[in-house]
Amino acid sequence: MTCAEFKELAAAYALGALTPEERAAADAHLAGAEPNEHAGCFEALAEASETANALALSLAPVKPRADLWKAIEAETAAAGGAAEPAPRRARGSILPWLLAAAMVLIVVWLGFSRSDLTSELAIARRDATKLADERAQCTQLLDALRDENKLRDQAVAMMQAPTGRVVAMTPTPDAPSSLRATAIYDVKDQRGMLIVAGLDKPADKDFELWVIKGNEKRAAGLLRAAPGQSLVMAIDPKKLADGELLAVTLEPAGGGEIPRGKAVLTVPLPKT
Amino acid sequence: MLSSTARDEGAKAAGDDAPLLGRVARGDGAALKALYERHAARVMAVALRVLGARNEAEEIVQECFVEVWRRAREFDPRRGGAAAWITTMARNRAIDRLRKRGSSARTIDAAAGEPVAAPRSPLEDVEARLERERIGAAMVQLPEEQRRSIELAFFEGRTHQEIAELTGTPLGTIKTRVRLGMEKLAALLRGSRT
Repeated sequence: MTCAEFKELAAAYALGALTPEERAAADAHLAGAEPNEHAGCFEALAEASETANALALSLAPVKPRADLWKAIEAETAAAGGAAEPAPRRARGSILPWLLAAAMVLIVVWLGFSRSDLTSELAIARRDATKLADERAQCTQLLDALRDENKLRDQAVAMMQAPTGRVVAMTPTPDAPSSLRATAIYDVKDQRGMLIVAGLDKPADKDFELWVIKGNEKRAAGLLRAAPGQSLVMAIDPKKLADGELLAVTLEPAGGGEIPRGKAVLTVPLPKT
Repeated sequence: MLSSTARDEGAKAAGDDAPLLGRVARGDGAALKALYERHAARVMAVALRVLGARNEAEEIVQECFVEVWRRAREFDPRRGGAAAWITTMARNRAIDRLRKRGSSARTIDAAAGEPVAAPRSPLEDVEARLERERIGAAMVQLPEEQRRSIELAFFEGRTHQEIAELTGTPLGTIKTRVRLGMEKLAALLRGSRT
């Protein structure tokens, strides 16, 4: 196979449309010469591969079941070092380097006075404390993300349930232009979730959710999210029971049990 | 040819994914998890499209990432980006399983369906959705016979020869359709990005 022939087949190679014989000939061609001896074969293949990948990107992503990663983790852990470590260097070639490194360490050690070492130790301790703090912060963040993912999974499951309904909340004229919210409500179980984006608010205010039944207005929680982030929350089922309407108001910071601010979003809860 | 669009996308993906693959090759489980979180839903979509059964598609996702773990050292960036490598691995596994099921389960009609008619998910990342819509818009601009040939190859695992037989079209015509279709798709994607 020539480079010109390979390039004619590169698209079919990337799509998997070659017969086993054609594929073997193409592989032999790629392996048969140094990359710089090819006339654009790898480039043509890389381009075709990215186009084939676009076919995959044209599909709506589908989340696998939540515990699938654990199964993969268990299998890869059982496989141990299946991803083989890099080959070790021969002992004969590394020994002189080790000796040289040891000599350098001894010279450096002798060069330090005791006070230098003490201050180095203090810096190292401070760095270790800083690292521990950063690690704790990271763990907190990961925990929060895990909780958020759990909520998202719940929201998707609720949407997919036969009795799940999805309704967009209607902004009032007082709503900030960026504010958007969608409620997911299971008409059978009377459970609901809320997805809210654009929660930009003054520092002295908070968005608060209400479940309304007749004249009864039940406070159902503050809507808070980091700047630029959306919020996914499960609505307290006790508050939702027999509710007729969901509303969001802009309240003084901290909210309250009685709505005082203006309504910014509303939506009737679906009955069927 | 495809060049800038695919290269831009490839470079973007490779920029993020290739170092992760390097870490996976050194036995770093956290890097594998990061790749899983980034690509599992896309891999699942491909497997589901090929196989049509959720439980089987999930098995393919599992097999695919275990294979990524085992074969990360073999990744060759000269052949395309890391995301394309992972997608191809999943697609090949799904096609192998489809073939094992036997030809009765493989119908030409299945591949003739709309590739972009998947439901929107409100939780899907906006950028990813826009990208999907951009690719979908490019796909529907392909001449019908080119799009169909490409989909029969990618999602049903048909060879040139099989597509020719299924559609009653000369083999040479099918080869040309596949090549021109891929070139046109690349050009459309490049055009829609600018």
